[in-house]
Amino acid sequence: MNQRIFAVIAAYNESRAIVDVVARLRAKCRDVVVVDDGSRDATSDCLRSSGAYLLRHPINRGQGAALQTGIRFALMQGADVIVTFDADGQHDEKDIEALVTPIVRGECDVTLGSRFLGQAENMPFTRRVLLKLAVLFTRTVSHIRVSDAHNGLRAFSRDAAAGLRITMDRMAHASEILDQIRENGWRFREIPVRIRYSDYSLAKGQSSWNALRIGSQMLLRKLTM
Amino acid sequence: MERSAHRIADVVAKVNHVTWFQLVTLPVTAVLFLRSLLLLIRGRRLSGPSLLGAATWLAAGLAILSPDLTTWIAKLLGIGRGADLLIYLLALAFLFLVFYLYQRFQRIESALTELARHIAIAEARMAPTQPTGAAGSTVDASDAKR
Repeated sequence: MNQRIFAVIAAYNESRAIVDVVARLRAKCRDVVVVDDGSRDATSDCLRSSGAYLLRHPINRGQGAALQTGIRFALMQGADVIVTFDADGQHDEKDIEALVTPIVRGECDVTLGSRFLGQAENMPFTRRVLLKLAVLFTRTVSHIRVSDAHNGLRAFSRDAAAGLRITMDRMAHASEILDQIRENGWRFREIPVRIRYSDYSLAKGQSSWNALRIGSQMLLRKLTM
Repeated sequence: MERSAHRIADVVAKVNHVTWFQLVTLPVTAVLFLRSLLLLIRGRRLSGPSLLGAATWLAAGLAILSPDLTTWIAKLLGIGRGADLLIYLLALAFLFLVFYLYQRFQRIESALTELARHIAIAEARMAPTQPTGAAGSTVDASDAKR
């Protein structure tokens, strides 16, 4: 296949994991875009010989903002398919092919990784309950049927990526993406993926309390829009 | 000195029942009113905020000058006391301010993000691959657009 596949990573203070993640990704796709979201550690420096495109927000703007930056840049570079990937190493680069294939074949516009269709290793019980609640919340608020609403592993066709407008700079962007899939009528499919929870990814990840804030942010937005 | 000040206050109080509170606050509101009026006149066109400012200071001055005025308006609106009317107005103004500032904050936030994005893309660079050449990394840094 002649399609140019870009992987986009938003990284904030990820110097511990990012080098390994980028190296593993580069083995799978040629073009990797890392958006350093104003990290205060050596995230940018340690990628100096990674072969990735390095972008840096001068100030921290949040994961949603960083993803949008990376997506816009990838489009400017001529990407045909854009994959978003988490910086903390919880995703498996081997899943990318399964995510990208339906898009390359023109079967859908967006694919979403699902840890509940696939595997989630070492997922703490509280995390499982919380994510299931989030799925329920998403189904009621966004009216979109997904089994995993907050998975950072996704793939977009060029057209879908160009139409994507992530305005929720912080973590609520996951739900915003789902909203836009529905609003734009993009064909989407969930793909089983494997998530590996490590102590590092759990420490870096969202605290459970944050879910409450994200949920209220979304509701507030729906009310004021 | 103190006697004469007292005498002036006595005279004023006799003439118009002016309280010490009014004596202090009225000049202040008068100055603020005149200032906003001046800005209003000097401005090329009528702007909402400066008009609102002048009206607010005028209303404040009138309310201080004769507290009965607020009670009269309150009664007209079916509210018991002038002080209650002021509380309601204050609550409304506060809510309005919160919503206004929230929206403004959101706009500034998204402008800031757009700015950060612009800088990030303008200064994007491609890191060269390791000279040892990891498997599959055969990208030529020269094909990266600056």
